[in-house]
Amino acid sequence: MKRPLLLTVAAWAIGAVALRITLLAPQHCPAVTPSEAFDAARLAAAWIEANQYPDGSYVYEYSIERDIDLPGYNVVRHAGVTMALYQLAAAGDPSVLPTADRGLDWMSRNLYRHADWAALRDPGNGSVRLGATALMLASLLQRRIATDDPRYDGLMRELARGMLVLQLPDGAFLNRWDPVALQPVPGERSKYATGEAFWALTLMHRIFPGEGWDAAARRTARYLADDRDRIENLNYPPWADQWAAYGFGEMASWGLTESDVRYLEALAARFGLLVRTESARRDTVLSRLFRGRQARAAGMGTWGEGLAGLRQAADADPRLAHLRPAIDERLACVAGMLRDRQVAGTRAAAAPAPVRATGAWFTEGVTRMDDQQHALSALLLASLILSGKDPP
Amino acid sequence: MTPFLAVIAIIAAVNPFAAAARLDGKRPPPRHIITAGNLSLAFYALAATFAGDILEALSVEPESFLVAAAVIIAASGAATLALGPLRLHYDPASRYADLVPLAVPVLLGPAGLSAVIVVATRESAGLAIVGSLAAVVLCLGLAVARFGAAAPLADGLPRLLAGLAVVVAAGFAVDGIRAI
Repeated sequence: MKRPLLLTVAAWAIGAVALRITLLAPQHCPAVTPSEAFDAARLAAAWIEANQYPDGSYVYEYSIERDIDLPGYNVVRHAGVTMALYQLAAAGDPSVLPTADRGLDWMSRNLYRHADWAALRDPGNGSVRLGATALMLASLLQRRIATDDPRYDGLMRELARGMLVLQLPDGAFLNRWDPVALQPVPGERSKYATGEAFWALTLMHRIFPGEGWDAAARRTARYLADDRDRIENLNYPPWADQWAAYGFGEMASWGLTESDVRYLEALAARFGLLVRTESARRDTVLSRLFRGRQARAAGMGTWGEGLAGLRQAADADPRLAHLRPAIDERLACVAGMLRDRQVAGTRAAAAPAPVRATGAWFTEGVTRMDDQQHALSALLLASLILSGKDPP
Repeated sequence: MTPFLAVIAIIAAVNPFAAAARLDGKRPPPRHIITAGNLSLAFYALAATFAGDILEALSVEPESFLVAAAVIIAASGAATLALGPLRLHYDPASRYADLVPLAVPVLLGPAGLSAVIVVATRESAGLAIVGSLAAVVLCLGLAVARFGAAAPLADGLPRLLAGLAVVVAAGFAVDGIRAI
């Protein structure tokens, strides 16, 4: 009797332990209130403010252990960081406007102009990429929402026309303009930039209704919802595109098609899966071994941004209303994890340079400016949505 | 998931054909049937009734458990598909054979428990209890009928139901991945 019983108990115990460290790892979503999420977003903005150079550019990467800035820059991320600051301003914190305006000045000094349009040029290599222009435009649109200041209206239209130069008849975008050949670089697309341009176009329609920006946005919506994953050979569709979610969130009040609704449901599922998976990860050797390394804040932030965009769509379209409770739950989870992992308080005080660490997120001892960008946006949008307010 | 499919999912996960075949054609005495049947049903009913609490205590989201359950059921089904039902040493004259192996692991296994918890969290505890009752009764009925001695059937039918369990698991996995 004893031997079979012991064997059975042992087999169940081993199985239970194996399941616990692999498939059934505990998930943890730290609790966070809307005001705590907002404070964490504000702290991320403070890191950006403290890490801006006099010319308006930001620290690209910073090593906490060596207390040094690491070389390199990315113009698309510069535009994204500036956009996040304007989002915060639009949500009611105008104190970040001087920093954001310095970031905007840096972009304004790096404009490329051709015919009747403009684009943001990378001063490092001279390239003119869609994503940089789209996020510069999104920055200006958020600034317009925050300040109601019309001084950049002309530039916004120029940038939007610059994006349309790269739009294909099916709504897709080419990724780059060749300033030597004076034509788009054929065949090159970006899985990020199309969504960025789409969102910027939807915001253009909000600020400048009646100018036809919605038609271009709708063409891209069709491409994103129906064709993008297939044509661009993106594995495991749908591509977790928070920019597309932002855009559809903005566009939902114009009316969504059935395929849009299906796409957004699939997108919500993708973000939900990513959040659930992340919530089971710990900063331990065992967790890294079986569940992989914890995601960087930039990644988690994009999930939060995506969920916020989808929440906006779910508010506007009754066919998506059933997603709202689950979206809110996952959004709160992202915000809780981000706040929990942000360097602040005693953790910041223990850093070699506390001012340079406070408000940031580090992966293997290094933070990159878009960690703060995406986390700021996600925390801000979560704080608004979870307190029943509309995102800007 | 319709109620019918929920019950079928539990039956496929428990796989009464495989369970009965594992006894190798030996007929359990009534005392074993009563003890093992009641014990396994009690466990399934507890798992169904407290499914939500169990997952909460484990800090596992129901959607995440769906994927884990899919892997457990698929692994169990795939093993039966590939190897056939594994024969166990069962001595009807043994005093404790009603516990091991009749109750555990023949009637009560990880795949069946996983399916019961999934059905209980997604549908209702009642439906999960009905499904587990059907599976256990079917299993004991087949054992009494000495199903394991019916040579070609005792190998083929368990594999057939194991195939269905793999399909059910695939459905669970897809649902778990598609859930927010």
